[in-house]
Amino acid sequence: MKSLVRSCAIRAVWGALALSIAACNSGLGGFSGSVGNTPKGPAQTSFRVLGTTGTPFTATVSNSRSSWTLQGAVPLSIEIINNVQPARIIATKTVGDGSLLSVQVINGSNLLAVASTTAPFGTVQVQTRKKFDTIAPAAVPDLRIFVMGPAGERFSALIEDLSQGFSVDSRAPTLFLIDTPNGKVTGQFFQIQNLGPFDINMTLEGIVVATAKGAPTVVIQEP
Amino acid sequence: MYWTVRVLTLPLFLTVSLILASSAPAGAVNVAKKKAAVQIGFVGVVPSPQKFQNVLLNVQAVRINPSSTAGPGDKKWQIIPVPPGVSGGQGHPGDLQVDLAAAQNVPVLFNTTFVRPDSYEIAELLLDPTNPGTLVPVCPSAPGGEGCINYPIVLQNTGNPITVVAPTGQFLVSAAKESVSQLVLQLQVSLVPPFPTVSGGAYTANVTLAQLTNPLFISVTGMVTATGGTISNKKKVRKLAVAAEVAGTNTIISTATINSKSMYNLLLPAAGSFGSLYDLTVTGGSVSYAATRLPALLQSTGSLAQDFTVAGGQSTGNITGKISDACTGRGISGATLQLFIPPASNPTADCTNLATIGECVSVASTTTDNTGAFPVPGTTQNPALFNSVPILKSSAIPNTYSMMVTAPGYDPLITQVNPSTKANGGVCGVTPNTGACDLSLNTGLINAMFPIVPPSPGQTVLVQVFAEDAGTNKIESALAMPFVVKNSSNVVNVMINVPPSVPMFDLFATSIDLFQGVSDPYQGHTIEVIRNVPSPGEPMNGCQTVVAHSTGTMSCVGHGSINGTVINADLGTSVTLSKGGVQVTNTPVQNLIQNPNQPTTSSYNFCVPADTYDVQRFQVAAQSTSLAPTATPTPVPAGPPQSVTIPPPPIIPTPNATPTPFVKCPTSCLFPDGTCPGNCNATTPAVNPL
Repeated sequence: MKSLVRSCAIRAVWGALALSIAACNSGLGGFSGSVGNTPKGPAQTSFRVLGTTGTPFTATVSNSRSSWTLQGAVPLSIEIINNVQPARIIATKTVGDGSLLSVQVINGSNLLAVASTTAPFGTVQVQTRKKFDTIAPAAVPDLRIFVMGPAGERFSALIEDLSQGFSVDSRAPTLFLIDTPNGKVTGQFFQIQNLGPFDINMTLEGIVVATAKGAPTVVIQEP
Repeated sequence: MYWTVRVLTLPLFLTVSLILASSAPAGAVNVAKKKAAVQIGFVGVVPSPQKFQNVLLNVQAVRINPSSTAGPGDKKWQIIPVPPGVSGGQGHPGDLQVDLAAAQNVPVLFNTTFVRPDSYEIAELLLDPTNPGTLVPVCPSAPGGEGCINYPIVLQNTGNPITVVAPTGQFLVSAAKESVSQLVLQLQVSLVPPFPTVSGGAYTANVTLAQLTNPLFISVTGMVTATGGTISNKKKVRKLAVAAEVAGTNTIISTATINSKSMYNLLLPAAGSFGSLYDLTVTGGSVSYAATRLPALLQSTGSLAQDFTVAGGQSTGNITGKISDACTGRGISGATLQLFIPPASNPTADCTNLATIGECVSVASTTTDNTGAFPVPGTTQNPALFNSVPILKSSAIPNTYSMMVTAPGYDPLITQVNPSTKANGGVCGVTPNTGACDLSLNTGLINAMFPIVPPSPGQTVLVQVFAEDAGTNKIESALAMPFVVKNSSNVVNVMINVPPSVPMFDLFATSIDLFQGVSDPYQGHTIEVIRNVPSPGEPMNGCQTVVAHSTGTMSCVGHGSINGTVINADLGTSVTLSKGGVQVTNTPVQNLIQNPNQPTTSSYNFCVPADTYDVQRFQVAAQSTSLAPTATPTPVPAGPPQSVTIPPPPIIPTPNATPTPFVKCPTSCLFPDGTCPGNCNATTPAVNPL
């Protein structure tokens, strides 16, 4: 994990230099340390919503501190940044056909659970191994970064607030849910396959507050 | 109307093979360039005599080798992985979860991929090593006590490969150049004693593999001829391909790109002697769209020829825009957009009318992003379908595409559309009233109230509410987020969006429960219903709202099962479960096919809370094998509903203390007086078989 963070940090610096984008707190952001030097966070919990491409769904994602509701379509990866275990997803198909909706919960690189449904408007839920007794209140603030495309692009991301940096590998489309950030958040994204330009937006309380497009490296900052 | 057929047929041949999520569509078969392709399918055999609602295996891949004695590290293994979009993809774990209980009648397509041309003697199934699968026994056959919950599988011989070897002198599959070969594998799960002694304990299972040699996939082949120009599979244009969809839907079953001889070859699952209905579409390249609807494919069909003629040398363009809520103006995330054209089998089909659009074929679809904008991006080499639409020379009907926009809780919208070359392209509307493709959908609201027995302090219960067309099981919408019931609540008070053009709705509310603090696949609270709620009406100075109350109270009752059989069932037979006249769920009849390893049972099961319900047989008529239907058929009731009551579980008066304070009950919920429902009961309808 540590080496991965380092690796991303190095790539971040070179990417930033190459694109002449001031991506750290040296001027544009509110970071107290340089990019990549924030302490590494623990392995993050992620969810994969998979199955028949294009199947629409609504989902509630929660951990012990926050919860989020979202609508989307298969496939979608969901990453909770700064997660506090346990974490859970409840997804309901919003189409009355027999298409497959499969949700998987992953911690780090371990597949913890998978559940699937083909029922019309079927509901599935999976969680990390700790037990739940309640669902947490809605996230405050509700800050999200959505990497919409290019479809299927594998990428690395470094998402930082004032106190921590989280390195994540994922595949577009991916929705990052930022749990209880400490100050402004910046995300840096590095393509692995270069299938086309990134198309990324950041929403705060459901309102788009920043967008970023480009390849192979882009930065998106909370204003 | 056609959605019900989807419900019945799709799970039977649930396809995930060619689900396109990456730039290189996994399994998209291009048999050119001296490549060979193999298509893998699964048929399930479930454990017996125990009964299971679900038998789930987490499949990572199948690999094949020309030598039956090949070691694990042999370099000639050819891997057929889970397709991207279904799996987590390279660098991330992910499995395809196959439900063998739902794969007993018709093979489940797994994937199609390129392999080295060769004859293969051995196939190996690769399951998730740490999480190979899950069983959900019905009540009360679970040896550990509780039914309708997850029991993990532990493989009997962990580490031993799960293989099937061809008889001496024969091959499992011969993969020839420029062809697609099928390998259908029978997956059988057998249970090994001792069985789990606690609810949710692990079953030890033995998974075996066998080859099925009868032709379960039907070959559909043909030529695509371009007139007036070339196909031009140039870069930055989607490859010209023929796709098979479940008839009347945009669900792609299989895709084959056109080879150097302008030929394609698809292998499609056929539902026994009943038949499967497919639409074929031709998209990509620099050609016009084409489509047709096929007559029913039977296993005895053998093969089918279907040629297409398209206009070559076409320019492609974009259709972009935003879908919004007509009341609030907010973007609708996850809305579905489809382009329709009349099929060659019914060239006069009216695609401009909601009542007849089921006669047309969906040739391109996309969804909206988190802001309501569409399309979601593709890639440079494989643009989104809505970013590579052939531009029509005229924008007058019938020379436009019909675009249908749907979202749960909203009226569907059909508009005429033509792409343009602008980045923010596309012209929507009927000539001359053309405009941008920023569209809004109408909705109405039902303020539904379901009384509920509140949970214990510190606990919550999640409730999901569904709205369906009255008297049917056509669900129109669900809550965007389950309602959270706390100890201080005694009513589920929700606002649910519904399409205002529907005159009457039925509502039902179900809980999403935890079993001892972990995910529970089936609910332990009663399902409550509200019948015949009138439409709120079309928006007038804002959205209209109607109020509806449930007379029943949601309460903890524990799990339960209904188990029965159906006489003279075929692949068009299903069973619907209702409560209080509101249809709640349905299931196809399982295990219809005679299998040497498992006697035919023609059975059905429901995992539902202990309560009183009606079960009713529904039937879809078999389709012609010579004529393509104009629209897909609808199931109709076959016989009267039969009342059935699941006895409530016994009460556990003094739950045991557990290390986890909030998990007091051995089952899914807690009564207000601190007692618990015990292990669940099952019942069979008085009229059995249906």
